Amino acid sequence: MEPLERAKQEFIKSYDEHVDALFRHCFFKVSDKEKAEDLVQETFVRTWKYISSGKEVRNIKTFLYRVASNLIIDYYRQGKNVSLDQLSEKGFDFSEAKDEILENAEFSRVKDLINELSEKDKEIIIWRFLDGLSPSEIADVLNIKENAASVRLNRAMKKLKEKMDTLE
Amino acid sequence: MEDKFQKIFSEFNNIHLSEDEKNLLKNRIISEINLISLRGGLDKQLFAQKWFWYLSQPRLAVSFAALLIFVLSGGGVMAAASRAVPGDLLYPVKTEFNERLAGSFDFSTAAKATREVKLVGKRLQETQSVIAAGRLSPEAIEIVESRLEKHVENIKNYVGVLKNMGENEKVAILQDQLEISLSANERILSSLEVVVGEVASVAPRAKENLASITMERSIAPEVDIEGAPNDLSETAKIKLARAEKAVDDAEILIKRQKIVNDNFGKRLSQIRGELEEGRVLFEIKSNREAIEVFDSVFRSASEIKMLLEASHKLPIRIEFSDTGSEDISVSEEGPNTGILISPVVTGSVRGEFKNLRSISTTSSLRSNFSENILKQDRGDF
Repeated sequence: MEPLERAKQEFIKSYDEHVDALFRHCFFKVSDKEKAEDLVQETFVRTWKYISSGKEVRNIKTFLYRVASNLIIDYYRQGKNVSLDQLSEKGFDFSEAKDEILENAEFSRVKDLINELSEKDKEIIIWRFLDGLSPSEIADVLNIKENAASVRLNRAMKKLKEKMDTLE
Repeated sequence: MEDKFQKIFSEFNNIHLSEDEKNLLKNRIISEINLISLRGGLDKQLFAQKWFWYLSQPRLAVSFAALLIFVLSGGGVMAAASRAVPGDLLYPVKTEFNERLAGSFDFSTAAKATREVKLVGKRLQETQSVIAAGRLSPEAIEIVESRLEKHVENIKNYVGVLKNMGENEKVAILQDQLEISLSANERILSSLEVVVGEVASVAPRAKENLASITMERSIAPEVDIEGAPNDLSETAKIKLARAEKAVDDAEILIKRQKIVNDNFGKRLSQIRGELEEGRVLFEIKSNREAIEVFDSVFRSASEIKMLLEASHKLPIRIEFSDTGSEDISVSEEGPNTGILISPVVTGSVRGEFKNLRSISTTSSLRSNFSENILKQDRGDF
């Protein structure tokens, strides 16, 4: 098998391994299933472009998260996020778009609390608990030292806990 | 505390795509990455097999439809598509099928990169055609911009590969080609904005896009002559041959254009003078300086070729100033008549306005104009 073909097979394998977590990550961030799917697709396509241009990827998992995070930032920068109210005003019919995920009360409650955190704290909480990245993997995505990632994670957890305690 | 969070978040593991959705998404991704390989020619082995897969991909249906049209129309539609400009019905056939098919025969990375650079020039020439025909619209500009973006992205990828392969000389040649193409086209586009008043509001967007492309030039590193392999004398010899050929080609084109006002000729004489200076430097072994001169001569002569092409293809007239300097002026010409129809008040790139004497050039939209002429003169036909 040619090196490129082998790389492609490996890459497709990485899709099977990471697609669920990446979709969860994107969905959590954009609250739109279709958009989340598009973001996942674009994440894999861009990563493949990078690989096929001869560049090295040390850790495919953290690389995918880094690409996805950049795409999400671009998505919000481009102002393509339209609020549900705005969509309703435009006559969008939610009855057909309703999804069991959106109806999950626990999801909404925790998501609201996380959304109250700063962008940095929110990000690190999502990576650790939603995506299941280890502190060293988070450090890799953020391009910082593992110790620094652990400190940031602890601070964010403390803040989230305080918010949860006030509700209980 | 961490356990508690993990427990809460474990609820969210239920968020996932169904197996069908995952497979569908996987197919979409595979089709995209295969397309990248096809475009990049990185995966030649799978090329033949891919046709079967190709037919099953809805996103590629347009290309397949193009193939079907080609077969059914005996190639007529594809030929017509080759002359399409942004906004035309057949333009997607030209960019998505004609050009991709032609590109699949470029096998080396350098050849693919060169092709992409040529396509950048082609896109900019199409913009000129659209502006000159008074058909420039925001949609047409959007189409051109999006295509340019893709070409630039491809060039960046190829340059990355070439750099990894240590092919610095090829990277430098690519940069030269891109620079010449961008510089000549930018000058024409800037001038067209003056000539075609009604598109003044849209033309700046094309220029803006050009500016971003120009910035992308930094992706190709300057080749340090000191660090170039082989001895400088050998490099200078190659650059001299390249410059001589470019000057000879430009001369043939000027003669064949039968231009009454020979400011193109004056400009070329000046370039020939520079070439002579370069030869002297080469003879006295000032190789580094000679290489710089030969590169500059090559760029200038190539630019003349591009300007002549534009002048021939569009209902415009491009002229160098009387002094033979590199300043150009662009004026309007009646469509397909070869006769100037409006007062010849023109604007040069540098904001000067001059009166130009009347000249006659045809403005038919023949493709591969210069290549055909050069082939005829060299007896290639």
